[in-house]
Amino acid sequence: MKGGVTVNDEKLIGLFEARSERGIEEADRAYGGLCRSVAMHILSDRLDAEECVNDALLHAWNAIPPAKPRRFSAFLAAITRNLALNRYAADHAQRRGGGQMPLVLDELAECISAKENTEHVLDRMALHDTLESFLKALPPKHCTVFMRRYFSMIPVAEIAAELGMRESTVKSILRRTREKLRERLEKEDLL
Amino acid sequence: MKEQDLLEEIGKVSEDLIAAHALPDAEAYADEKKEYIVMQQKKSEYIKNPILRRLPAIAAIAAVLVAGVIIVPKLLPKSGFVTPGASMEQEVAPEDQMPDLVGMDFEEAKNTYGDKFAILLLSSEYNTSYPAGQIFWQDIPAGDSILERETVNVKVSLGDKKVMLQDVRGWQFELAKQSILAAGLYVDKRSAYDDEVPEGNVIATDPEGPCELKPGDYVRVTVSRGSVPDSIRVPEFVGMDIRGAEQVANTIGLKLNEVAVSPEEWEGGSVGAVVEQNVESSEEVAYGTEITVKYISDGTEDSAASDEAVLVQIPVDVPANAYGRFSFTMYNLFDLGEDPAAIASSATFEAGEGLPPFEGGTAAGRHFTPERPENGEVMLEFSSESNLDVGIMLCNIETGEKAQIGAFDYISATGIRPDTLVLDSEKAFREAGLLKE
Repeated sequence: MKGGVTVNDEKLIGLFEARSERGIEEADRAYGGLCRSVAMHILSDRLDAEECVNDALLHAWNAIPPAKPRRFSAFLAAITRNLALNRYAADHAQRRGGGQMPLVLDELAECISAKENTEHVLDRMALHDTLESFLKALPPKHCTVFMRRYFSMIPVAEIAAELGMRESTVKSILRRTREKLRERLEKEDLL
Repeated sequence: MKEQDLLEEIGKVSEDLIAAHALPDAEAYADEKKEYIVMQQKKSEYIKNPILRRLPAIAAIAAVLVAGVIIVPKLLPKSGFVTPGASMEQEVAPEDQMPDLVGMDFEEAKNTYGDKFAILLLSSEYNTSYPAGQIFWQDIPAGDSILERETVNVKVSLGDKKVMLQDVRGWQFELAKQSILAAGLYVDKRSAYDDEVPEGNVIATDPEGPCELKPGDYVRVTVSRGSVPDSIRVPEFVGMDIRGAEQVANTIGLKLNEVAVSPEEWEGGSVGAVVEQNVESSEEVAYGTEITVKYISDGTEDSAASDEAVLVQIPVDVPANAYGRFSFTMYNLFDLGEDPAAIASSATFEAGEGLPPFEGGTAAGRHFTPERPENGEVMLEFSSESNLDVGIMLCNIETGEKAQIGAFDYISATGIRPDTLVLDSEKAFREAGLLKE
């Protein structure tokens, strides 16, 4: 099979649960490239991205068992993403440097109210529920574009090329989805 | 919330969403590590080999020579000029952009663009700016890219809504009121003596019917109090606020001659209070007699303000078959915007059995329990420092539907002016979708 991806998720989890180090190798072979890509889009540094992926594999190794993710790729990618975001936050006090982070943060700022509400406490559970239901209600293609951009931090041009769309189309979808998200957050009084 | 918070939470959505939408094909990235290692190896070889290190410079010189001979003429536009600031992004062809449908006839828009994208009628609404049949709103902005099998939602104007005010002169007031309310208008009841029109019947309306009005317009209805009485008993004006005394005098058919006295001239009285009248209370006088009253004035009070606004209570009937959650807002009747600003709001109520758990309300009030009507009614309270014509709006919490339920004339010093409170619960609850039929 191309790229040596030979182990499915069930077998991967089996290897982890059996504490076989081959599980880490197989996970890296199957999803390491994908996770490195996510980390690179955030950190713009190959060495840092490599470290994040290694840390993510270690986190997965420590989490499984008892965790038993149904989608190993999503599980590993989410860990990688969070590690990369934390590293980015630690390294960058302000939005400096290259990569997608400054752009993504600027874009997402449109979803946040301009009003400074110092009394408002962020209800993370409510935000999570709202985000989840909002994304599930989107047309599939719109959700894909949105998640490619704001979960995986993939540049607009790459999203367009991968999905066979024009860049302007991708930008339109992102803009409209951000507007709808903002309306939803306002309606749920989360802003 | 900050954008970093939102970014973080996006990363915590379910694995299903991440796997289905966030991640490209993992196989496409499977060779990335291998490529990285190869790159590192090549880099290592490059550093060690002096010939390899010089190759880029040699290649660059050669490339410049070749480009100068062959490639450059092909790069230049025909005009020979390079346009600065030209965008490298693909331009969207005009035929792939969402057109501006606002102002277009709905049927014409469908005929013109129906083969490119679907135009869906979201709602038809009265609109004073666009004639009936024209689109006045579209959810996808003009100029945006049209996506495959796109659907654009539009709102179409029903034109400027007009309702008919009938000629209700001579009608019994209750029937006249029902007719006016049914037309979507509001009633401001006044009363006056009239030798010809029987007591309880309508003398006149302002404006006069029949005529066309806009929904929500105010109709002043003057109702007969019967023939002018032979005499009128003078009330006790002393102690009343001067504005309240004016209202009473006007209602019963007397005139007031107001004389202001300073607080220094009259110790012990509050500003605005009537302190003396020239005709004793309970005396019988002719209709239209002028009564002179003295009241304390420091020159700062005005007819629109009161130091102590009277709190009024308004019992609102809740129909027996009411079902759902609702609240009330009060607003200035002269605020005739599409969504008048509320000047007072009530608690949330619920009626009916078997309602799903309440999840509405603001974040702060997310877990409170709605109140239930007692004895088939809810009690609203209102006060204001200003004299106002107040409208009461019923709001369906679940659907957002609103309906006018009543109105009253409020005087800050004395409360609701007599015979001005109008309520129609049945109609309002039905319009707001709060009746279980």
